[in-house]
Amino acid sequence: MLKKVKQSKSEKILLIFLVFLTFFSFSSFYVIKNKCLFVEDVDLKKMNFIHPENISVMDISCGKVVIELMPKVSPNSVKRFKTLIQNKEYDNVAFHRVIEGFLVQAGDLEFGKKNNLNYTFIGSGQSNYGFIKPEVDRPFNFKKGTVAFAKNKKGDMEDSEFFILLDDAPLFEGEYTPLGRVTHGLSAVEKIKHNNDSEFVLRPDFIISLRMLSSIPN
Amino acid sequence: MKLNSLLILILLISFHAKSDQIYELIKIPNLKLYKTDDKGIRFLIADKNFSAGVGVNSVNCEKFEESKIKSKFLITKKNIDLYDANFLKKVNLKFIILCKNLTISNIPAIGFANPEMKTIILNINSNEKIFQRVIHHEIFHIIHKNFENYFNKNEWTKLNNSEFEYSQCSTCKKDVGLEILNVTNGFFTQYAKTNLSEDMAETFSFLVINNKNIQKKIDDDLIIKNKTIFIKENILKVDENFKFK
Repeated sequence: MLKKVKQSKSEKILLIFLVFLTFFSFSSFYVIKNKCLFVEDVDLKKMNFIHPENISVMDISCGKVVIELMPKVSPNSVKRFKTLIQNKEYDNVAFHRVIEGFLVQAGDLEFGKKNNLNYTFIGSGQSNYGFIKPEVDRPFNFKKGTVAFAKNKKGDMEDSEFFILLDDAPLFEGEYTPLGRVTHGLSAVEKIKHNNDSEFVLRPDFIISLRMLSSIPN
Repeated sequence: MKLNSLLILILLISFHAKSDQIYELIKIPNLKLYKTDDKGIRFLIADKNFSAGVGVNSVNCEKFEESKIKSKFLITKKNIDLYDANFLKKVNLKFIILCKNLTISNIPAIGFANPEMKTIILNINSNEKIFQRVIHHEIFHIIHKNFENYFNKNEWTKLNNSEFEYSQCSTCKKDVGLEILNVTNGFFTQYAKTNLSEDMAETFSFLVINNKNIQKKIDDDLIIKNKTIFIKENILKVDENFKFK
């Protein structure tokens, strides 16, 4: 006959601890795996915009990002940006350059497309729209969330590449052309894949789509 | 092709991300902003020793003592104040870096201009007189690069004696003194004899600093006099409001 052994108090505590540890391990495994957890949910239907004609919406892996464009600050560059958006040029284009906590850069239409990604030349490609001159004379506060055109390799012209700031960069004033600001969904931008040792990203995240608000069906 | 891409990718990934905005703008690491002046010039100092560039233009410079920062900044600022904001904007100068023991390709240097990055780097451990003049010398390199069409090489060469030839490069000669020569013979300094661009920059820097001694050299040397006229005329094409002393 087996003698029933009663658990001591310390054994009970140890058992409860082990149950909690197992639960915590499993749940954190799934939580950590989901990089988009805690990202702001952007519901366009609940939003009102004063100038809807200047609102663009970028769809990326962790959600929607709302960008308010500022044609009064940079008329020609915003016009170019809108043209590229309207022609769906940014769809499936890589965030090829990501500096954690500082900026994400995308928009190489030649070497950064999902079906034609070229790691050798990415970041140096050109669109078919030609270069335009930077518009850097107006005062602008380059704070976190600013969207601006990047420059070409020579540093004197712009084309299609743009970046989004993840931190304030006051020294950028007068250097880059501001296009607008992220008004909602910056937390999704912060989740874009980066490489700890390099600005350039192997197997990068992509822009799923970038549209003007007016072209998005209700 | 795939192997090429892989090699380049490995190379890119092996470079550490330099994530601050100064690096983003001028591709030099380990700098911090010291002051931004009312003309939009950003004065940067070395936060740590830094190296930038590769090959011929590899630049190395060191952090200097906190106690020296203010005095060197004030000297630099005083000289920058000789130019108005509009002029500095036109010539595309934005960043001035102060550091010590500057070397370019391992050769000690007092200053270095990088017109593409709108930047000049100044070595603070040089004697004050020369340090001040080098500021203007480097500014001229920025001007020259941005307005090359105004500073015609052939016209300048004709100002020298016909038998004179510059060296192959600015560091090819052993004697590259920056002190004003007693006997000028068409050149303010030995360094001015090294190449055409340095000759122009030296002439410009003496014109900006100008004093009685320099004016006497100009008056006594016809070649130098003609060179100063050339520089003045063309600087006025860059900005008609620029005033020499």
